[in-house]
Amino acid sequence: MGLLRKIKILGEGGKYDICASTSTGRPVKRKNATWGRTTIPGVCQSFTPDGRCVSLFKVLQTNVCGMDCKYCANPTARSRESFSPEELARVFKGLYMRNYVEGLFLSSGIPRDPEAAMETMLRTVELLREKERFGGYIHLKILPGATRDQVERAASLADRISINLEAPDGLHLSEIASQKDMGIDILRRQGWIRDCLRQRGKIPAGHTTQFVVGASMETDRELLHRVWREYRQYRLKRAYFSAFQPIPGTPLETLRAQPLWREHRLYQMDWLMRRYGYPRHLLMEAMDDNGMLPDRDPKMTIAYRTLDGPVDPNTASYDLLVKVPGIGPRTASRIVSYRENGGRITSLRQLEHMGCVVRRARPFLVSTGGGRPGRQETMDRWLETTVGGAA
Amino acid sequence: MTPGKCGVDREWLLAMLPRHARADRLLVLRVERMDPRDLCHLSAPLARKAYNMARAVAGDAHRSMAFLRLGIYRDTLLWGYIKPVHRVEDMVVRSLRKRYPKHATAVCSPRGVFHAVPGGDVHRENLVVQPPSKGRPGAERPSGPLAVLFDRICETAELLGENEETAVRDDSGEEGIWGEIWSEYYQTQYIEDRRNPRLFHRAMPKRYLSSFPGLEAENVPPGNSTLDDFG
Repeated sequence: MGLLRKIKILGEGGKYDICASTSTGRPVKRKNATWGRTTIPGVCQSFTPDGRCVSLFKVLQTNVCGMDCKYCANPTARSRESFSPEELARVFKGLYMRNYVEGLFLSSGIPRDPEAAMETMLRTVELLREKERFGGYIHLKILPGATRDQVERAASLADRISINLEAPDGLHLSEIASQKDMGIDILRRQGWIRDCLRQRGKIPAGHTTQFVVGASMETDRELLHRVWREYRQYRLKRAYFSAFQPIPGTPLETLRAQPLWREHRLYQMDWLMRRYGYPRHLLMEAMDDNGMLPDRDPKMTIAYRTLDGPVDPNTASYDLLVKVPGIGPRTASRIVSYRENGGRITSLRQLEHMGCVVRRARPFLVSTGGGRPGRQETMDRWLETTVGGAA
Repeated sequence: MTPGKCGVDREWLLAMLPRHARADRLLVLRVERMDPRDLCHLSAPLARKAYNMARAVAGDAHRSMAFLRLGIYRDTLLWGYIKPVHRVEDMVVRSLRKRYPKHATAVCSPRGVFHAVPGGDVHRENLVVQPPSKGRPGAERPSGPLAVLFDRICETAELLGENEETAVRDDSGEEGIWGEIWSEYYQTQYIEDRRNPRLFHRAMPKRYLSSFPGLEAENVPPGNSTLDDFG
């Protein structure tokens, strides 16, 4: 059946794009919407055997692509397929009504005329929003050749839009995609997206980007510098990392696959940057001399290198508490708020109830708040009994 | 670095707690009478226990909403079958009502049938419903009690006229094709190099695969497991 074949080919083509979110963070009321909503908490309708959440109908409008990105399967794909806007809208509606998916993630190959390709994507989304009156979640990719008007229309129609950077700078990008110019094709469009963010009601879930980690031999330091700039300069909502995996038939098929832990450590660093608010100089403490992250928890590494001594949860500030491994922003806030309300931490058990992972935090904590001295464990003592003992 | 929201919402916790399968009146009463400061900051063992139970309920409702597959009955009623651990069926119907505001919705479970018409409250019918086979509507028997109930809900919804103008109609012709489309799409999303059965089973335990009809595509055979998979 033609439709199943299209879904197979265009679904395959879109599977490397990442978007974990299906919600806007706040309720969005779309005029005249009769079905669908952007739930506040994201819902995962299913999971694949690789453990990834499948919540969005993630497909390409077309896999016809005239680019020469060396890591991507689309330019060398033998079977070329395209969805018409009507066809895609009908399939999506059928799946959404049966609760198979939570929203649409629409991307596309980039044919010779990227403006026309972007226009087809926009027509699909307009069909869903205006004719079908869909009020749910839509993530729309911006193609490198899209015009400013198209970017603004996408910002009005979609809940989230994104344009992939793929590499930390123009030099690295040119190594893996010689036809893309980072400044003109990507950063300029990110600037337009930033302008849209200033307008009320546009892109409620913000904009994101994605990096192919390890395809252009970049370092983790370079990647994180770029991410840092994106958050500051372009008001990026978040960055996604995808460890490079060679795809047979592509020019980079012989390049070594990147270990998945590298991607995981980058996400941890990104988390420390966005959620914990770690300043940049602190984050750099987790790097080795080559600018790469070792396969260790970066928060633990930073804590070892920067904490002067054990932290007392009864006196420490929020900034200090949040640096302790096993204590996240919420637990740190809880501890501070509890103290402000006259409470006092008297045992590790109490900290555990408040959300602290004591197994990790214990070496970094000291208590002067009434704990039994005999059982008190300080960082020095921990080092003595574990690291020193092991040596 | 600035502190953010940290406390536990007492109202939310007390709304979730009685829905837990193992919650009893005494426990709820003890939690209600707790020092609000301990409850807010989870500094007491009972507070943590109550919080964990409330989160288990919220998680069950979340997964029930996610793993539920819907059938369309007479173009008017969206319905499905779930078998949650906790008493969350009405929460699922409320969530569906927001998602499909112009449709009547019904959720069948071993505790009965929970349903709502557009703009209406959630009602419960004391019907014992068996899980439908392969996620197909269980109202196969036209004169069965479930079909009678569904017809009544549809008539009420049609009287309200809420879905008169809605573009949401089942125009598929054959319902079964959507299972095939989903199955085909689901297979395309898997990246073999990233195979991680432990993560898969943590997110979708076997209990859910058997409790939610319509998850056939997700019933992934273990395949060539390595020792690492059992580590």
